[in-house]
Amino acid sequence: MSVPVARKFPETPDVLMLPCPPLTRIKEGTTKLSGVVEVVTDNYYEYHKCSDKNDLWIEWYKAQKEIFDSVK
Amino acid sequence: MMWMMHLLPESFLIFIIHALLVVGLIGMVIGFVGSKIPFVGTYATIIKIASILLFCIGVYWKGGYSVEADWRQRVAELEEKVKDAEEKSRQTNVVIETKYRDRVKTITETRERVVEKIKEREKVINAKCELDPSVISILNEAAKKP
Repeated sequence: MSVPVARKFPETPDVLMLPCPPLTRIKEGTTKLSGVVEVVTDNYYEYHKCSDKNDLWIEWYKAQKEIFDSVK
Repeated sequence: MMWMMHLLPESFLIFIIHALLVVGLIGMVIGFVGSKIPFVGTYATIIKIASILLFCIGVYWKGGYSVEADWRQRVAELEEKVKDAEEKSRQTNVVIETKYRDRVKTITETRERVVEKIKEREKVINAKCELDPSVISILNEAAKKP
């Protein structure tokens, strides 16, 4: 028989709940390579943030699962 | 009958069970020993039956209460574990948030450094390269979410 104790789903950190923004587009009419490189850098920046967020989601899940499984 | 135990407060439940046992025991003693006493002797049989009945109910409830108490203890232990787990979960969230902020700080610093380098070498970068307008539309097409 199981013990009737209610358990809440763990709260997720607010920072992980933010969706990844769309990639920045290059302004039409740009002819300079430096302008393109800047936009590419911005997109790399957003990618790295998004990638870290994904890594932390995995870390959060593993940690929360371990905590959840420890209660028996 | 046993379901009633869920509704009663613990102290009251213990009091009732002990009262039944004590009254039952006293009643049995009076019923068996006091049968020779003139007034008590008249009701001895009724007292015996009633007190045996009360004692049996007391014993039955005592057994039920032991099981109930065991369950209550297990629930209390589990509630304590759940409380600890919730606290650990909150701490984990704090760690994750701190990690995220630290990483974003590092990424932002790297980006600023790179943007600074681009600005420094802007003339060199642009000197030997002029982009065809199709490059922009091709790159933007790649950036567009399919």
